[in-house]
Amino acid sequence: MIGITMGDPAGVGPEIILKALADMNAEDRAATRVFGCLATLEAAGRAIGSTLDLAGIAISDIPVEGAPLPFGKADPRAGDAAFRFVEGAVRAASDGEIGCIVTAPLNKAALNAAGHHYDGHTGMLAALTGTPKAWMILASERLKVIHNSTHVSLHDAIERATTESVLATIRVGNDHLRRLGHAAPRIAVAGINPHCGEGGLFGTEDDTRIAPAVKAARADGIDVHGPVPADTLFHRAHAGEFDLVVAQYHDQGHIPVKLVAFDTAVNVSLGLPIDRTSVDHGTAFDIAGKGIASHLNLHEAIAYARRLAAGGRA
Amino acid sequence: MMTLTKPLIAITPGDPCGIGPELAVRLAARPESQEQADIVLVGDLGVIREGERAAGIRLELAPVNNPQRVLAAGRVLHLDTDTISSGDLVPGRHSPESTRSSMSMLATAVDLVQGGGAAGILAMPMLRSLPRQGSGDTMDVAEFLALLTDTDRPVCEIAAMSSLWVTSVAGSAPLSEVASMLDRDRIFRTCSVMHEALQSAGLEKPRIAVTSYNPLIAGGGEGGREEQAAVIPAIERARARGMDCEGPFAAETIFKQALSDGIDAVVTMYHDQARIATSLMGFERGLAVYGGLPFRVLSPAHGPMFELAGKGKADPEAAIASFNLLLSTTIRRTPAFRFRGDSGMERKR
Repeated sequence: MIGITMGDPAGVGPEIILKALADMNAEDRAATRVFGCLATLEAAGRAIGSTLDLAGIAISDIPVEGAPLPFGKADPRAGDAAFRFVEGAVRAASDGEIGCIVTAPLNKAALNAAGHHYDGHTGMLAALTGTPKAWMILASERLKVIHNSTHVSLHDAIERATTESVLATIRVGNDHLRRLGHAAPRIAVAGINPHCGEGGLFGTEDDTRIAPAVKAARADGIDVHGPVPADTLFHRAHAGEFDLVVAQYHDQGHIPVKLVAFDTAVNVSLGLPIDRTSVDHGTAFDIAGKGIASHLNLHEAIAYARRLAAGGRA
Repeated sequence: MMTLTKPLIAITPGDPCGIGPELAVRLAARPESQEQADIVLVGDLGVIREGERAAGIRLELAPVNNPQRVLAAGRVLHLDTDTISSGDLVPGRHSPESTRSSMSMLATAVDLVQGGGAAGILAMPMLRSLPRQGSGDTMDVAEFLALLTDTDRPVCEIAAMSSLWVTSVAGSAPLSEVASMLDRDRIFRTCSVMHEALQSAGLEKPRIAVTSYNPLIAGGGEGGREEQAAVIPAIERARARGMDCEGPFAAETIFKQALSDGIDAVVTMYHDQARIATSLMGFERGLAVYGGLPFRVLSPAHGPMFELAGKGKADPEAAIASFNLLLSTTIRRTPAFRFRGDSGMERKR
């Protein structure tokens, strides 16, 4: 069983969930539970002309004050609801009722306006599960990238690329790929500086911080290489040379994946006691409630979640 | 018979131990090249002979310092240099000497152009990291060209792909130094260099997208300190000057968006922010334009490919594309100077 959280009720979450449910076969649908607001889902169904019968769907109905709220507007009530959907799903996951959480997008401004001060889902999930650090993998069919840091300023990202942190990221990524069926994942670590600093001339961090982490991971028996110059590494990985790339900062990992798999890349949280996948797009307030939002990305996130739920935890 | 409308284009062999000499000879020998431009090869005769050997082509060279010879059909001008010994000229075996040679030959070509002798330079590939004289430091080709021309504008290597041109504000600087380099003026001037480069390639009103320095969540956000202090004011200034600049955009989505929205160029803040994307978009098979110089310099984007050197297997496609783009930009700019066969350089009226 997987659980899908509805995300911000004013965003595209409700409608793409309806579309994804409509596409599912009976077996998959029976193994899906939605953590959201029934009144909002019904309103979304009317707005987009959905014929899906919600009576046949397992829905944990978590009421939203004033529902249905208008689509496309940041509202603290919606932000608060988005938080409570995730909270409910985390509880169900912790109790073993669902094997993986799939999250629809939330709106950070609405979330913060409701008094929930998180930088997004990952931080929220880490806090709800009492986990000190979580990692993000952006996963597409041919290119998977784990990030040493994500939504922090570039200055902070550089500071966080320590030997210890990069080593931990390599290990977490290696474990995850083994769970996905790679017996000995081929991993490459991207350098921080242009051309990996070329011996210190374009910066020293690659020699002093990244290289020792790679060496230590190799001593553990992990098939890891690097630091590799980032400008060509992603091209090589995409061509099949590596199963996973370790990126040092948000844009380094997101630029290549979004370029080669704009609609299909799935965002996966690692390091948490529960599994979680997510769409990698936002609430798209400009098109919410219009029925034109694509559910392709959610479909991929659900498929990835089922793989994880079926494989059990390592 | 030489026509007076043909521009004179200088071709440098790049690293003499790479595939550059072969490419230079192949380019110079093409009838299409000779129809559209007068060509002057700038480099050691030995290096050009090595290129001829690899390509299996013999050029008829007319030394520019020989008053008895004039440019005629089938002839290629040659400005001789003395930059590398025959012992160091071993295909595939690059060395500090071959790197220095590639730099000297390019410097001679820059002198030629600055003196009014040619309209632009087609630089065959050399190493991307070059020694900086008098220090253990290195610089990239853009920085080297900036030094040679003493320009006060930012010299940018622009990845010129058919659908999108991309450059970065901070060149090859270490990532931790980029933030301190980003100010309104530098970003603005990089945008105007890009704007001008695209205009000279024929786009009247190019659309330029500028990325943020800090990660932005796709679709917006205010960004951080660098966006507020530098990126946003630079974009406002560019717009006030009539340039169609937009941003800051999230780097993670702008490349895809640019391809579908008809954006002509992306100006990123730092090296990898540009190069990760351009590499996946096939830039290595394309060409680089050096913007911000008082004349045109273009180069194939692939490196000197030492493993292929001397074998006659170099693919001239990117070099030919560079030649064609250089030609289209120089002709539009109507070169102010002409080479007058036997007595050196003379300003054209």
